Amino acid sequence: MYLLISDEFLAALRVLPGGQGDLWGSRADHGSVVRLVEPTRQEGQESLGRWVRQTGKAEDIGKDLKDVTAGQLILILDGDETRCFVVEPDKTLQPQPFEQVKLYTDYHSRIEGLFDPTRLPEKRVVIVGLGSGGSAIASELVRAGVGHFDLVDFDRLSVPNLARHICGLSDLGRLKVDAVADFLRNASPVAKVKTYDMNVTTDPDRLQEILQGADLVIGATDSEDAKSILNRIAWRLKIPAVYAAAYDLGFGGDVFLAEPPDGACYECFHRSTGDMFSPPDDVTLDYGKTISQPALGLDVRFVSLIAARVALAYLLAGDTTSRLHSYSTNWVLWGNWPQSGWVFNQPLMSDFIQIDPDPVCPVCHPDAYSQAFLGISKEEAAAEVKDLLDSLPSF
Amino acid sequence: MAWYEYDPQRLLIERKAMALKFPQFQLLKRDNALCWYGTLESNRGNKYEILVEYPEHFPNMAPSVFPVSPDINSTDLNGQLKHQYPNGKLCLYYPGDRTFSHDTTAATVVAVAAAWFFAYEAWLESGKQVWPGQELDHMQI
Repeated sequence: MYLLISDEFLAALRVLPGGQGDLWGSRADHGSVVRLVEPTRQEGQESLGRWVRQTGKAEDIGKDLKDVTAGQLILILDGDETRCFVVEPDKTLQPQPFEQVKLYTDYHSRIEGLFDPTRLPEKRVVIVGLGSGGSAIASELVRAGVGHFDLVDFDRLSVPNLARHICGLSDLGRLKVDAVADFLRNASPVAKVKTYDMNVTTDPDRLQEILQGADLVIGATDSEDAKSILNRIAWRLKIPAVYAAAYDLGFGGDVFLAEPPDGACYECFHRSTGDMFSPPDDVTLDYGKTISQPALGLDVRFVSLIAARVALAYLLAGDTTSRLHSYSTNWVLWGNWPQSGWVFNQPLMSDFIQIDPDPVCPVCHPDAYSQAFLGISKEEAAAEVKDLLDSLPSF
Repeated sequence: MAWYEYDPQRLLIERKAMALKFPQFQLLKRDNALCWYGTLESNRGNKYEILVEYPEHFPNMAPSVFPVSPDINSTDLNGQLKHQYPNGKLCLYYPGDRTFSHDTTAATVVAVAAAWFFAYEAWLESGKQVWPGQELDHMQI
């Protein structure tokens, strides 16, 4: 048996009232691996034996324990010392070696030196859209150490999703937010995840509540409606947003960072780049989203990784130790392979383009927009519209 | 929140454009949706009353145009609808062609609808044989 026990697990037992109790943990690989890791009892864990705080001679160990059965583990906390035993068929205790790990301090040891590790656990990121793109972005952010996630999606994991999604067969039929939440909790001991089964296009007020106080929002939905609504709300709340998109067949994609109050918003981006997105001739059109487009998971993943990198660079801005430097432009274009009518002539190419704010954008420059097109202030426009709506006949 | 609540200026721009191009149209409210109601007259002298309804997420989506009078049914000789959806809505845009943008007003949509009726009349005159332009299966959208 390979037994793993975390410092945090032991620390929790040392302060639990009662002095003894059931030993909750998990087994893997037919019991050849046993883990006592999480300091609080988790769903799916089983009772593996008993723990007890006691001091005394070796021959007295476990004498106060009742109802132990062969094969169970006995964990003895004797001051700062920890000993573990397995109950033999004759009820004698056989010492069981174990590996002690530091769950909360060692989990990010492989990324130490890249940035200040204390910054990300306090950050809260909202992700709208948990499909193949959003789920992969979440996966990267949690492994980098982001501590708080709010996941927003209304969809369930279906069989066609399996080819590209981070979740798998055991998650079929589950809400994507719940499946990804479990994935994140399994990936990081510090991840705190909230889930929202909702469509942002039908409940923008709730989205606004979710976004309040967030450090960053990721727009990973393929719905332009949802992105547009997200842009309006996030910009009003001055929350930066990363928008990621993979193109039909996965031939490429792009990532755009909308950074209020001075950057370009997604509406500016949409207006200034719309002409570039006429589909190339030999790419199948997505008719009303009734037909799923084929794309390899790896091609979508390239775009997700760029989005995660842009998000991390933003979250770590100001960290002088960070090696994830912010990008000099707000738009990153990525090409998986050359495509007729597209900008890249070689596979795996990228480009960096700065999108300037539209000085009369209705979302980020509503005053200038109002003056330019109507010659009145936005307040005057709102008052005029109120009078107009009150006077409209019904159909 | 309706589109005209978070972007009231846009409603005034819509009203300005319609007053300039199609002053015979009237703005109406149907539940929380806004519609333009008015009559188009073709070069052949036929009149078409239409309703132009803004979608909830305008201008991310184009307004819908519904014939009100006379009853328009563009079912061809094979029983297939021509450039029209089963609910009567006119098909004015080829999906994905991006001819409708965030800046497109209802006035442009009405102009496109006028072109639709021109094509419709030409199709009727051809004995329901020829309708110019690309076409999709409107049942799948």
